[in-house]
Amino acid sequence: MIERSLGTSDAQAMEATVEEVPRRFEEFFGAEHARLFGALCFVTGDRHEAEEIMQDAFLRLWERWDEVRIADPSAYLFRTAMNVFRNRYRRSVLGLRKTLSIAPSDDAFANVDDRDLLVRSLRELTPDQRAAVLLTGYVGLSSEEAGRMLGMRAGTVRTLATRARAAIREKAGDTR
Amino acid sequence: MMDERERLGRVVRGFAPPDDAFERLVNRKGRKQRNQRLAAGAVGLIVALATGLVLVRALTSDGVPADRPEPRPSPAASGALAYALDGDIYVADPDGSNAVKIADGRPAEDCAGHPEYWAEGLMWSPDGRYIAYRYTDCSSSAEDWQEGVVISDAEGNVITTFPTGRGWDIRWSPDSTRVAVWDSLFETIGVYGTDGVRQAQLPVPPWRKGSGDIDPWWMPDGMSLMVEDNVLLPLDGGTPRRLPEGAQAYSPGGDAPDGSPFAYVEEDHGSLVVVRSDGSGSVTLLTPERGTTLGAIGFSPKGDRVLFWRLKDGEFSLWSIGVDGSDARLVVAGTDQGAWLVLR
Repeated sequence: MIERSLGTSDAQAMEATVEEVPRRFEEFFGAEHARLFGALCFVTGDRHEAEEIMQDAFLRLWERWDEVRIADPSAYLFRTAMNVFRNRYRRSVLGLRKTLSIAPSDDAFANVDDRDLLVRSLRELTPDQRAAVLLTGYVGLSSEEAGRMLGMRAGTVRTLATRARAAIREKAGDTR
Repeated sequence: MMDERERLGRVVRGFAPPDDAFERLVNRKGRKQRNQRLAAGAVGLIVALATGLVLVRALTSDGVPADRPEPRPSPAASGALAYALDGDIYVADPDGSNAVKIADGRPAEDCAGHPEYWAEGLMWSPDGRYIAYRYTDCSSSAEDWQEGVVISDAEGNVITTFPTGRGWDIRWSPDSTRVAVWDSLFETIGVYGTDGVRQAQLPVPPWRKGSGDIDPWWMPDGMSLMVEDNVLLPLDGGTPRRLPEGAQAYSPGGDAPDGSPFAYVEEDHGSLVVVRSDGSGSVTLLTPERGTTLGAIGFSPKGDRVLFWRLKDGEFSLWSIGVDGSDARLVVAGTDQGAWLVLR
């Protein structure tokens, strides 16, 4: 799953075999947290929210770390993080929590190069659109796999990603 | 020129995590452990109180069981709605009312990370006798979950179940006697009878172009299946071949008869559009506001309304709308998986 992507160098790191995975949790955290944090900032658009989800996912993995030998901790971590995102996002839009909003309170994109057209385009997408683009365009999952991770139909993932890419193209056209 | 993955990767790597992230995690773990110890004590007290209450009730009960509601007849008539929600399957009236749960499954949280029962696509067999949906084997792991197909009648009586590869739609043959699903995603297609016996297994030719991220669909004569790139796979094991460009367009809702209108969502604005198969008579029913995504599902039996799903603020719902774009109505909240029965 996750090992299929995350950029060329990242992908190589993710393709580590079980034997190569750092044995101590702290080492694993050190090796993985920046990538996961980046992916969650990308999806949520909110640094605070991204860290909350990251911590939640790492904590769940940590609690199982000594009990079960997880075959692919990176994939497990990423899947857990996406699951946490999905649940928090849905709860937030149902009004039970206000930790995540379309207009982020701690705008993650403000801290990256705002001159980048892609960054400006991403800011205007919804979290679920960004998640669909991240999982299919960057992580390299099929729509089916991404849909399972996000709790939605594969067709929905395709639609979200298509809409997101159209919006990015449209934004690019606006600036010409 | 950078490809999409490189460009996205550059953005992802641009977010620097806080320096003290691990320390914060350690503190969080400590807090959680303390809270769990407190909660365990509280639960013990509640269990003791509840046990006492049950004993008192048992001693004072007259032994008469509580009234149970009579099962309602299932609405298997034309236009009946079947939908999946939180691991369950329901059948309801066309407007979503009088819903009857016909399959009681576990939500994703309790079943290998996936709903126990779910259903993408049309679900109903064309003759309305069967409903096909997918199951997740809850005993499998979230990392490597196993799934299969359930075929039941509209009242929920299971006709058969069989394991399959992963996939989405379960595509009914035009004569309602078989379904086609991926046996191995993007590689082989299985054709199964309603008894669950596999009648054919068709390898997808490696020369076919496209992502493969689309389910196979039936040709109207029921003698062959189509996959992306206009590739036709004869069920009799004949040689797969590519049809000429434009010979058969992919229909998102599937099974749009020649000349009949079909609904789709156009890419530029994400609008819900109805159009005839020949491209004429295009009508835009609905253009979503920013942050809302629509997806077409299919027509009502009379052809006067379109069923579609909406994703807004992270929440799915099923809606219907008139073919002139008027009178949009909420059908079911909380899901994007549903279909009307359109008898053929």
